[in-house]
Amino acid sequence: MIKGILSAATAMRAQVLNQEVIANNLANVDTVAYQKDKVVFRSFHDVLMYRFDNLSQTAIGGFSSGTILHDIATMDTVGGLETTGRPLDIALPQGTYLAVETPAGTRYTRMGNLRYEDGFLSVGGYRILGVAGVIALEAGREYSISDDGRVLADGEVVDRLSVVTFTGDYELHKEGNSLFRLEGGYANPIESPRVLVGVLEKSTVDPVSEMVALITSMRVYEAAQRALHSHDETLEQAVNRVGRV
Amino acid sequence: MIRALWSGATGMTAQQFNIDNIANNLANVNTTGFKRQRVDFQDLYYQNILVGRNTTASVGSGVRAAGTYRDFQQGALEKADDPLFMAIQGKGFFTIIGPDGNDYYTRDGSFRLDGQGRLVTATGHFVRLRNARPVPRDAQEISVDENGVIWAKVDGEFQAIGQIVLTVFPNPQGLHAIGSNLYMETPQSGEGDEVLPGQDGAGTVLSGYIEKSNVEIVTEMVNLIVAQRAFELNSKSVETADQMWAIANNIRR
Repeated sequence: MIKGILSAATAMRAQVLNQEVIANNLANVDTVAYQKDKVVFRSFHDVLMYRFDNLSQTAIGGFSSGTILHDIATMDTVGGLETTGRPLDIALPQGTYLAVETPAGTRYTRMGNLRYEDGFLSVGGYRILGVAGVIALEAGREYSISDDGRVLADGEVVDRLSVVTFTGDYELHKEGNSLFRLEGGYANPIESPRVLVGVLEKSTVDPVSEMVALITSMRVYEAAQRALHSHDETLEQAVNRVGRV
Repeated sequence: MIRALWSGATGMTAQQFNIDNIANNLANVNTTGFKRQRVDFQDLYYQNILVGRNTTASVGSGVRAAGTYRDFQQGALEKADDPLFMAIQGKGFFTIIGPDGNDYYTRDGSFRLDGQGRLVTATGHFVRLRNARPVPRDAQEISVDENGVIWAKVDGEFQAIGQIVLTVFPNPQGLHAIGSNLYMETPQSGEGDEVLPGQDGAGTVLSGYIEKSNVEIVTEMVNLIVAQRAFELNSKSVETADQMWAIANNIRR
């Protein structure tokens, strides 16, 4: 009975986490190139249960005592594309990232709304790395990006964007501000990246499926609460009624 | 649950800001030389949760409006019958002398003459001209050529009154809008270079036209609908978090 209460409680805790991740997805429904997260749960490891009768043990079967967080996975898909016509708006193919310089080291992003900031080509406030390091821009020139990732000033090549893919045993961790941190593995710059120009990648969050997930999560939570509650009532009977005439 | 409540709230705040911005764009659909703005969003920081012994998963905490971006795309040109109404075709800005003596910049070229024959904006600020002198009282006709030189016809002969001075910025997106169609130079915009029309990509001056707002109503309306729905969506995650909290409070009735 106590086991039942604890199992129901793990389900409730899990759904709170699920709810938090969905709320974060919904908050970022309009964030450029946001990749949605999905919570993956698994059950606790099974425990073999035995029955004791007359000094002998008989196995009853496996028993799992609830659910636990397995991982929060980031969905590596491409969001809808919006045509903006700006020469410095770009969208990248699936699985490729721009390298940017941050105070904490190199980070990766799929944001494509490039800017001129304090004399450098930047995105989201971070300097973009080209093949030859950060890309300095001169005043008064017209900048654009070609569809193979070259940075052009008045039509003349200045540098090439460092568009990378990852290989090896790697993991990408979200750091906020639409940045990813690479752990393990290698970042390999692409020789001639395919870049869509004048197009921005929208968030991958689909409001309908997130709403469905939100409702489901809430109902699972509610059901777990009912289970916990009825366990509690049964326990109450056991404590207060058993033995009373 | 508390985190979900706040994530939803950040989404609502961000979309509110977005709607404020769209409303301002729509309000300025007929403002001469107005440049529309766009809001950019970024996700907030992620909190790590331990999963197993060595691995972590991270939960996000919502969204923020990271900044606004002004779109300096050329607006449509509209014919005006006054030769002193001017539009710039290119990247430059008209240079205006503000009431405090500092320079301000604008794309609004609906100029006129004041009582002393000096070129002023619609709000009465002086326009910076090279070799400026007042237009004589007996001028019969005024014209402006594409290099921004203003000519007045006096006794059948054209005299140069002055030449429009344009300012070009390394990063016009960094200009600070102060209202009345004026922009102010900031460290982000970089120092402006004074350029004569037709030189160094500043653009040419078109007399008898004004530049309309570059706000497109259809785009803004679509953005407004999206923003309103996104706001609603985030209110749902707040609502659900609230309901779940109520369920938790009801475990023991």
